[in-house]
Amino acid sequence: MVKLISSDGETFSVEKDVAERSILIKNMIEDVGDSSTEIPIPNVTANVLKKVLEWCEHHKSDPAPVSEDDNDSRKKSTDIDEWDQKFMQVDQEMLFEIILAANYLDIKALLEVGCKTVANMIKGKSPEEIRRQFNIQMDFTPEEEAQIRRENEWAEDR
Amino acid sequence: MAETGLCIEAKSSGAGKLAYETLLEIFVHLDAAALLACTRVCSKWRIIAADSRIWRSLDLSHAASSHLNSPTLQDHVKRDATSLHVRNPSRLTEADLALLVKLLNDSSSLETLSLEYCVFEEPFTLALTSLHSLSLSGSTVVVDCNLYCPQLSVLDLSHCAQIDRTVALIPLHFPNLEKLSLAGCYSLSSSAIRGLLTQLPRLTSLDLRYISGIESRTVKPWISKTSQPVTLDIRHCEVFTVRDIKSLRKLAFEGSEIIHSAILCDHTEDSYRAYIDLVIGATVFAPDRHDEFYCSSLSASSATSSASSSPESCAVEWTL
Repeated sequence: MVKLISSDGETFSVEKDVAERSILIKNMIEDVGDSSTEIPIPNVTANVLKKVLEWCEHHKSDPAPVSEDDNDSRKKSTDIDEWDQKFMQVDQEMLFEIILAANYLDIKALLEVGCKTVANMIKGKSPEEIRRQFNIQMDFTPEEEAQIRRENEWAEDR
Repeated sequence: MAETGLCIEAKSSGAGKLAYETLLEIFVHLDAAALLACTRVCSKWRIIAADSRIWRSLDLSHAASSHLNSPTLQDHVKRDATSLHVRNPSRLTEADLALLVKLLNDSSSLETLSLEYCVFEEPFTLALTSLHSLSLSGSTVVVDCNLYCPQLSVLDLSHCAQIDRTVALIPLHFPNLEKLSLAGCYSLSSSAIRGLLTQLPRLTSLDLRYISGIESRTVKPWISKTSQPVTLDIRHCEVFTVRDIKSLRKLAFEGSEIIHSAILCDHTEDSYRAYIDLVIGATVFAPDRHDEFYCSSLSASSATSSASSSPESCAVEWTL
């Protein structure tokens, strides 16, 4: 068992192979050489860490990811497995927190699922709809706006 | 957050908190149409959406004329794309496809191209010196297309209609071909394929599924001549018998793979009888062909009963 301490001080006891889905934690355990030490995770709060560990638990026996070379077709696909889809049905704030945590903890497969989920939220939307979806302010300078208009002289609505 | 150093803006909530690299990771999953929309969302997204890394692998299947006419897209296709994929483009007209082909000819680094289920009315010219893999699967390939891709090693012409004349030109256009699919090109004759195979010295993988006209001697010279393991897929090519497969396997280089669905042992009366027994048996006793378990047990027992005529008949991979 490995003990992880979230940024807000909560302790999580998890199996070693669950925790080691995170390359960051795996390296830390290797460095310390003793898996009974408590490992602080200063960038991740308890509610997010709990969610991330839930994912790690479900995927603990996944095979190692294939090499990055032939990733073209895989990258373009936004197919997400069913369990992961359900897992990602959280509010947007949590979704981004999971992505940030996966990035920090170096869990490539979780990061990819998160990114695909966001990509699916962008697909098929107009710029205005995307802004509304993610609550983004349009902050173009007049020059940029003029440039965008020029670029889109061909298009009517997209 | 310790990661703020990566953030373009330190906005505390929403998509604003995602780092440049993370947004890049997200954008990589988008098709061309969505990427173009992203360039018009806000200035941060505009910068990221201009990153050449996300335009390397492009999908234009859902793109419309307006996207294709966008100078932003055209620039990225010419400059950054190494892989471009178009499949059944319902929103692109024939004129759009002609424009696309024109753009592709200007691209500097394209390695993988698929133009699948596209309707081309006019013959086109495609000269791409860096292209390694081309798929025109299901597209209407016009006979007089002028294709020049000397580096091409993978070609997929599966389900292309009326490509008899195109096939004759394959060795000329793609002399270095290693992998070829002609699956579902029904009209191809045995002699056309045999002729083709003698002119492709590097070919090691061949898919001829569903071409009923081919027979053992179509592929024999190629199989026996090639001095490295080959992969041959002849499933649903009805003429092949189990004996043919066996003799092909003997000729092939060690480690070769022949994927087949032959069920008839050979052309003797006995094996035809066994074959008919099997087909009629399955029809009479198992009218519900969806009952796979029943059918497979039936075909297995038929195969055993005819085992006396040839021990090979156990190698049945054919399901009813």
